[in-house]
Amino acid sequence: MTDFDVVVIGGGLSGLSAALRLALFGYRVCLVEQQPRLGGMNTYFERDGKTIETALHALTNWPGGNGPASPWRLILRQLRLPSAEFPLAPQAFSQIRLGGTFLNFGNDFRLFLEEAKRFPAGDQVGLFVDRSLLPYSLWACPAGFGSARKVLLEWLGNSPLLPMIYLPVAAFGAATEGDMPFGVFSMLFRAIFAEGLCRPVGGIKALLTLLHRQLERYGAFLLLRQRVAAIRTAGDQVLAVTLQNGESITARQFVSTIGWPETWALLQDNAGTARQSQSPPAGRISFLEVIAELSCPPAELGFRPSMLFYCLKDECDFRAPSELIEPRLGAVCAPGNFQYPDPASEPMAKTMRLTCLAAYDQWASLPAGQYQTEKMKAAEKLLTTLASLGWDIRPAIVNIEVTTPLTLARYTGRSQGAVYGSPHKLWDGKTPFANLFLAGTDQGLPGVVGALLSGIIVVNQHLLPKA
Amino acid sequence: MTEAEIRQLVLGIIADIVPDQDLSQIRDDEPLRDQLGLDSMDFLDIVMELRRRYRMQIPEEDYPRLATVAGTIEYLKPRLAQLAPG
Repeated sequence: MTDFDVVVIGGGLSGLSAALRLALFGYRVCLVEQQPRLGGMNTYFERDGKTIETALHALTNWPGGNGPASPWRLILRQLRLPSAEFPLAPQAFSQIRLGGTFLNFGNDFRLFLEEAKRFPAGDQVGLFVDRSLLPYSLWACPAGFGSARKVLLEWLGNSPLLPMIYLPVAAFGAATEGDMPFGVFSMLFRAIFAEGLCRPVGGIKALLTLLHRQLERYGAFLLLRQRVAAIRTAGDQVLAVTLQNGESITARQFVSTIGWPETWALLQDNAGTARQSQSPPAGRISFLEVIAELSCPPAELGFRPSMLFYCLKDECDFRAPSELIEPRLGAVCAPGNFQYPDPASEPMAKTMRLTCLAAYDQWASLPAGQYQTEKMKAAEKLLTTLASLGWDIRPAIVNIEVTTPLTLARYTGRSQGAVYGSPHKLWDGKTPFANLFLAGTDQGLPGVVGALLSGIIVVNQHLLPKA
Repeated sequence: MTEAEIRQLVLGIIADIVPDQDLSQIRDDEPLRDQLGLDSMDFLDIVMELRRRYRMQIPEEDYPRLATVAGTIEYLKPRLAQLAPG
């Protein structure tokens, strides 16, 4: 039996920022991660000497613009990382395609506002931002604040701008189908459109390396390749976590970042009996991703946007499909089209990432022998869809990796491979247990920026003593 | 501890918390908030750092006294003297 001040469950970005925040102040903190590598959903692997990233397309909240104080400044400060050690490359521009029309946006918000004017209700967008969008508050959790669609409908009516604006926001963080909480929408709208997109120079690996080094410097204890098998409770207190190898770790406080339904499933009373009450629901928004390695940078194939968001369906609703995938609604990222100081040395410069909505239950019910075949068929469908938009990258592909909702579920442990977690959020990070807190996606802040902020906010609000 | 030593201590803590900032030009009588753009979260970090290093409890009503380097030195001087052995 080992004892710590705090146990953090899960080594994704929210777990890393929570553990680091605690370690900075001398807490004896133990971070438990089931994989051999940190990062959770946003990680990387090496194949044939090449680094391949997963999940991360672009970071939001480009800090170089004229928007409000960037959360990156706050995140880096709170984690005591000099910004010089975390250079960010801005996007060139991105494009939203809806059927046959398109809208471009970049890291200068004025471009977006100008572009919007080409569409019905386009002159309403500026007013909507000024009057309706919730103010930016980095230290308050976003909470729900009602339906985003309802507010958008009031301003934009049946203008194509509505789905055009909704699409990238949903792609960056809708845990719910069809609609999302207006609080989360407001935060993401500002993050994507008003501040803009960027990528870390050196990719996600650079960020993870920086965080890993800082955690070691401040003496956090990292327990990799260990899965938490049970969270043992008595009354309203968590007593310990039991690892898969049978060992127990006790602590005064616990932070779980593995998701609310996933945390729920591990709760046991001290006699080892699972809780009988009903589990919170698992999310249904998941993706299929094709990582296409190319023989040249994507710009040489005529693909110039940093990111492309597209919807070719008549009704552009963001929900789990009834087939394996919905290739007509997706996002494409070309890391090589971000403005790096030294493009040639970027690990992902000659890749493209194609992502579309996918249904976990459909993939899970495939007969065993068909999984590989269906993966390749799905990849082909996505590449064909991109070709129909005018970019046929197939002749330049030298290698392909495909991840499905099953891959996500298996690797991250997230129920149903739900990328943005459960539709049921714990906005204040509190659980029914007095010394167990939730950080990460199911606290309600999505994406890489959201995850890092979530770990910081939950620790500041609930674990650091009130001075 | 002399005032110069306390000043070094205070600047050391600030340097840890805002690694991006050049502290060589800092003016002791001007608010840190204006000079370094420190916000309330950063002040919490200063308080937490004093707690960690010197086991010093600083009540919230005293935070305004930490607004400048000079104010912080003045505030810490008697409290650090109490902590000194002997």
